[in-house]
Amino acid sequence: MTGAIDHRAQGGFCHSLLAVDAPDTIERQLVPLLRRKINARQAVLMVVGAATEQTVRDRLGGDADALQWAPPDGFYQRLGFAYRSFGRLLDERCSRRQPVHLVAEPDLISAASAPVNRAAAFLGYEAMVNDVFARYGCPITCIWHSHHHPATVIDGVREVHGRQVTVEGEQDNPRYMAPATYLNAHAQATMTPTPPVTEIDGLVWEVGQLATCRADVVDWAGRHRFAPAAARQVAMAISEVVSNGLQHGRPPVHMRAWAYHDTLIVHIEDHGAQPIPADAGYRPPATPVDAGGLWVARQLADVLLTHTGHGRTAVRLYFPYAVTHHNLDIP
Amino acid sequence: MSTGVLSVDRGFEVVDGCEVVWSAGQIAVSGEIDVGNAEVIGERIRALLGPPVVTVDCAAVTFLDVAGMRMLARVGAAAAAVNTTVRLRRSPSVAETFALCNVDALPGIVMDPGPTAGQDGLGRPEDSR
Repeated sequence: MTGAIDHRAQGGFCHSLLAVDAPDTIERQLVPLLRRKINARQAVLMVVGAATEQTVRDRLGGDADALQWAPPDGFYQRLGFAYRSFGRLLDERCSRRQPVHLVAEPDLISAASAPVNRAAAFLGYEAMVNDVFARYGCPITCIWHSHHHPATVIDGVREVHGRQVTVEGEQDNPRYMAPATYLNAHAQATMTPTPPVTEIDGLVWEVGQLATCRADVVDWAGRHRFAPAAARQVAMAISEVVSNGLQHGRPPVHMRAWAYHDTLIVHIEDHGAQPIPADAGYRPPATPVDAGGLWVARQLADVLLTHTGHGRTAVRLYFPYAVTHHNLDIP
Repeated sequence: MSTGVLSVDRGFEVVDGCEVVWSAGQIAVSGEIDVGNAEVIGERIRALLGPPVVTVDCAAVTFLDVAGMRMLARVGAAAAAVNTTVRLRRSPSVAETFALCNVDALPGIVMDPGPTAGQDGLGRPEDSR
C-alpha cells in the first residue's frame, strides 16, 4: 500500500531519506539540516563515509565538532548485525534520556560479481526500522547514493523511508510503504538456481543429526579458510535454520552448500509449504523464552533470503569471507 | 543416552552427546546443547532445584542454540518459583548466544561474570569519536 503517511501512528518517528543524486546534494541538503540541529543544540550522531564527513567538515568548519562521529565500519558489517547495532545504540540513548538524531550512510556497495545484492537485502531491515525503532523517538536520516546502486534498489529505498530530505527541508514521502506491506511484497526472494553439484548435499531427518550437520559445516568452512570462530558462527546459523525446518516444516530438510568466489552459500529447504512470516527474524526475541532462531541466523549470516512455493520452503544464507571476518578475533 | 551413578548422590549421563554430571546443589554440562537434548538437560537441572543455591556449570559447553537458551530461561523461572537461585557459569559459546539474543539477565539466574560479548566480533561498535 502506497499512500498518505500517518506519522502519528509512528509516534512522530521520522525515518528520512536523503537521496544523493548530484555532486552537491550533501552540501545543499544535508549541511543546512545539520546546521539547524546544531543551532537548536540537538545531538546528532554521524555514521557516514569519509567523503561525506569531509564535505560536512569543510562546510561547517569548527561547528562540525558539535556533531558526534562514529566510524561506519563499526556498524556496516553483516546486515543483521548492522541493524542490531543501530537498535542497541538507540535503545541505550533512549534509556539514558539522551535522544540523538542519527545520520547514517549505508556502506553496502556490492561488486557486480557478487552472488547477492547486499543493499537490496538491507532494505528489509530499513523497512523494519519504521516499526522496531519508532519507539526510541530518535530521528534517523539515511543517505543513499543513487549512482552507487541499481535503479531497482533505489526504488526500494524510496519505499522504506517515511520522509525525504529536499532543498526545501523534510517532507512526507508519498512512495512510502508500511513495513508489513513492504516485507510482504518482497517476501518471496528470487534465488539463483542451486548448482547441480554442491560441496555439501545432505538430508537431515531429525534433531539428533544437528550436531553432525554442524560439524560438517565447520569442516567445510574451514576448508575455505574460514577462521574457527567464523566457521562456528556459520554452523550456528545453519543449525538454527535446519532446526526451524525440522520443527516448523516437514522433514527431511535438504541442505546444500557451495562457495562462490569468497562467499559461502548455504541453501536449506524443507517440504513444508507454510510460508515463513515476512517479518520473521527482524525482531529480537521479546522475552528469553520466545522463538529466536531466525533472528540469530540473520545476525550471523550477512544476507538471508527466504522463499516458499511448490510445497517447499527455502532459506538461503550468504557468508562473504571479508564481511564474516570483519572485526573477528582470529586465534 | 547413558546414565550412571558415581556415588549415592552423584550422577553422570550422556544426553545426545552432551555430558552431564551432577551432585547435590550443582550440575556440570559439557559439549553441545541444542534442540535435540535441551529438554532432557533442563529436566536434570530442574530435579536439583530446592536448595537456596544451585550451580549450573556450563563453562565447558561448546555450543548453545536458541532452544538451549530458552531451556535455561525456563529453568530460571522454575528456580525462582521454589526460591532457588541458579548460579550459571557460561562458556564463551553460551555467552555468545545470550548476546545474540540481547539477553543479559534471566529471572532466577545469577550469571557469573565470565566472558563478555564482543570477543566474537559481534560486540559494540558505537564508540563515537
